[in-house]
Amino acid sequence: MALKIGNEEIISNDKTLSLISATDNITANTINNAIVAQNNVFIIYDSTGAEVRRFYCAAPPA
Amino acid sequence: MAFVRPVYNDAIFGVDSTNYVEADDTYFTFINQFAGYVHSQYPSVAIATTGTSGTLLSNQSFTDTYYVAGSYVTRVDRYATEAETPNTSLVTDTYSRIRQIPYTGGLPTGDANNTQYPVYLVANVGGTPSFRSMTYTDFVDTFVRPVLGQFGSGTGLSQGGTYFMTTSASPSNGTIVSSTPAAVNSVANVAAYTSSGIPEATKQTTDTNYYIAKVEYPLTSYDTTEFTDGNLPLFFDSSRQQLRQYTAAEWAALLGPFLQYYLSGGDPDYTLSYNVDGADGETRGSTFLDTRLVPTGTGYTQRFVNADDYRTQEFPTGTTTTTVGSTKVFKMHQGPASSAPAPTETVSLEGTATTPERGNDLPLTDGSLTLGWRFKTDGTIEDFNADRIPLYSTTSHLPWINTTPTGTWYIRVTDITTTPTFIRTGYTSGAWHDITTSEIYFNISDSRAFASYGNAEFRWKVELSRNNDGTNIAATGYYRWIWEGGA
Repeated sequence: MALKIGNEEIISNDKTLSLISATDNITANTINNAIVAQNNVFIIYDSTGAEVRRFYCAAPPA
Repeated sequence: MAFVRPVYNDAIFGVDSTNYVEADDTYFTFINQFAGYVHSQYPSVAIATTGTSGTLLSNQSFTDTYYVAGSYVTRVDRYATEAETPNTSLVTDTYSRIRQIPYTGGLPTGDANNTQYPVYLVANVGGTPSFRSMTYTDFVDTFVRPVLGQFGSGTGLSQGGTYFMTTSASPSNGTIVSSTPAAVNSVANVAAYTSSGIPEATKQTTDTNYYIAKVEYPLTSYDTTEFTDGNLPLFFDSSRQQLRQYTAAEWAALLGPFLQYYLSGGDPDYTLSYNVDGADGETRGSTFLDTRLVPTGTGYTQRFVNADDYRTQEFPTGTTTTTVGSTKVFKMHQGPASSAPAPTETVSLEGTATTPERGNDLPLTDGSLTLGWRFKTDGTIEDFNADRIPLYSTTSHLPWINTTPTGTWYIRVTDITTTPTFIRTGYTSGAWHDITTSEIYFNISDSRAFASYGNAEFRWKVELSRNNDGTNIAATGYYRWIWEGGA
């Protein structure tokens, strides 16, 4: 059974999430941590070889 | 480390906004050419024609000679005669304005936050690609050293920031450093002098200005299908904590001081220097020429204004020719000065039997006129005329020797003109004289009455030799004077 707010379907019967206009901090962190967990990293090193920035990237499933 | 390949964003030509690419050789062709733009914004050895900075180039004194009209004369009873009207005169201007101003700053130092220089591709611990900032040495080996040699020749995109001489105030490949030219070639404008204009301004010339210009192309001139300043290398901007490409101004500020340092003395093999008529370097742009009229008459001109105002004035006449020995070139050299041997000692004289080298000016006798030539120990040749006031001139006369004489040279002067007979002073005609110990001069004096003759001429044949017995003549030339008798 789909979840609707008013007439708008937010979660469909096949579990598709739609029309999310914002996330709270908990939700945002949850999504971010999920991406971090994939460990697709892109690192910037300075000229001494020290890491100065680490980006976690979403990547297509293997 | 060494030469490394930077990463740049070629999204400008792609569909992705962050299409990061490792630079290939083609990219380096264009980023190295772009160093010409950087050097045009940060020139290493600047040239100026005004001010007091730096040092004047030696061997200048661009010499410009031109004729000006004589002062006009007005009378209430009749026209002044040609003899009563002041002659045209030859004016000499000299220019020594070119100054060389090397960069005086030191070699850049430091590496702000250790992320000042471009990033390059590395594999991180996990084997996935990442970026690392170049070290100071990487940057020098990658972007500085490879381009130092490209500035030594040419005036193309890669040679921005070098200088050349031009007669254009707005050359297509550069910008003049000042509206003050390095030198001027003035030639009397014959058409500007008219009878109805008497009194005409004495100086009326057509001028060719020789400017110094810096090779400088617009930023857009460096754009190609493979490269624009929009895909300059990427670096890690620590203040924003993000990757971004340098702007053109940032790249120029980063690379420019390195070019300034190495090209202005930091590396003797690549140091740029400028000279005038020096032994080293390539000619940069236009060659300076002094052209002037060779008079074909006195230019005596009358103007009737009214019965109380009869005016006369003498105007420049003749056709324009290049003054012998007047050429000078502005040159640029890269690297240490050559250790070329001193030039071989050679002697030469000017003029031919049919067209002898002529004394400057067209003197008018007042009944007593002395004319002659002086051959000096330092190699200069000087004409002399005592038309009321003694005048000496080396203008346009090439020296008889190209360097300081070694050993003894002898000179013999033979009178070609035999009639009328003039009073001779100076050294004996037809004999050999040692020119290396004292100046040798030959004069004639014309004491014929004023207005008793028209134009007159006297010719000499001159020879140089290592011997004083008439053998092994090393150079032969012909010299003459032309003057007005007033008739």
